[in-house]
Amino acid sequence: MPISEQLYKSILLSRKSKRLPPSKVAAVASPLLTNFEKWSGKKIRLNLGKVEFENLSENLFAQVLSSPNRLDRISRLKMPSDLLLQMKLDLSECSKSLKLPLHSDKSGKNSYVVNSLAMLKSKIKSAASVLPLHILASNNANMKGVALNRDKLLRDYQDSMTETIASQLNRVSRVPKSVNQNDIFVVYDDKATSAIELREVTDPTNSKTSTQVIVFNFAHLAPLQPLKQIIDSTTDKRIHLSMASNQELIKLIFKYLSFLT
Amino acid sequence: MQLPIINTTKAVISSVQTVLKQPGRFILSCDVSEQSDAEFIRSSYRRFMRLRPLVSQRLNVKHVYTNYIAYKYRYEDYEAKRALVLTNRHLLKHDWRLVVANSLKFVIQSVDETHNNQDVAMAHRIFKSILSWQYQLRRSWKSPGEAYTAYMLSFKHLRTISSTNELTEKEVTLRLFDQCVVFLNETLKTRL
Repeated sequence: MPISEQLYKSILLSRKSKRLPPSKVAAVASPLLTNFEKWSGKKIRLNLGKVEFENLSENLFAQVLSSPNRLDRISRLKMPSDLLLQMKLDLSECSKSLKLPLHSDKSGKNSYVVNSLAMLKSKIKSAASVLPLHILASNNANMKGVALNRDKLLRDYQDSMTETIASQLNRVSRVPKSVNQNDIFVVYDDKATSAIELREVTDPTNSKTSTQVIVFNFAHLAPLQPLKQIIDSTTDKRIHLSMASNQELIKLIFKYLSFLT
Repeated sequence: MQLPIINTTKAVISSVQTVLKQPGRFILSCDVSEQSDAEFIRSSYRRFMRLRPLVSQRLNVKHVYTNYIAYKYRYEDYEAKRALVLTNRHLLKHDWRLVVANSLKFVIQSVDETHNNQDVAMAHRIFKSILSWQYQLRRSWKSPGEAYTAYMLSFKHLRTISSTNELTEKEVTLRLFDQCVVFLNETLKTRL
């Protein structure tokens, strides 16, 4: 007969647990957590809470340089698209042709070429050299017969550009207004040598302060001769434009001046 | 589902980005005017270099940025470039310390995407264009060394030429781009 349970328990020694008491040292946090920013793999950002350069959209050059980068088909460089000239492939009619739109937009099939008249005259050999790359890459045989009359295309572009700028300049209000930083003056000045330059002018309303303005000079450029009379008809021989109200016109003139020089 | 946000002594890390808590390391301190020229150049250079991890996560973009800053500090003759673009020489010259400090502020603004702000986005795209031109210099020419000497050191494309026929198509595009950058620098008082 086995011994009774009571007897069995009385034989066993009672002893204390050998486990150590919990340590008094504070738990060490893992460096994985304390230096987590080192290997988080996320974009690192600063939080300054203030913006230093405000109203960049009212600066012509900031606008031009911040336009999205596009591949120039002739020089094969990626440049801001406002520095290039957009070409549109017109598929609407039965005859496919390339066009130079005055205002660039995303619609349709586009390619970009260097914005210089002299370069385009010498470098465009065939339509294939300026067609959008994805059109060239496609096996669509219909796309191969695109007509390109280079001289007529460039002449038409210049004519419509001059006409549009003239009509829009005529519509600009001639009321003298205060001159702000980075405003634009359109002048016809034979003495100045470059088409685009910066000048310090004194404000007509407050003659003590001088402000930096951008000057577009139409002299020395033959296709812009007809616009001389528009500028001469104003009282102080200059047309005052500001980015806030005439942004489209300013970008158009900038594009055309860089096209001609 | 709410993703965890980890808070360390130096940064707050979310599932999207790491936001540093101590931006002081990136900003020029107030006692700039007491520093000597050499000290100012070194301290501003250090701050530009500290921004390297913030410019991009891609290694090659970081390389381009480092080379760009080193070129700006050590090799570029900016006054020569400026004189080639700005034809009327009487334009005011700005204090060079102010110009360097402004450039640092511009780069900081261009990497500061914590707020959804139009000016921040524009600064980001402008700086991206400048870096992408630096990158193309090494990739788009058969001999990058010659291109570097011609366009970055002697500014061949900016020298006044009677007609643009004498330039190649690449030079015409670059000429326009560099002119724009110098004009932008004049209007913002920076030196990008």
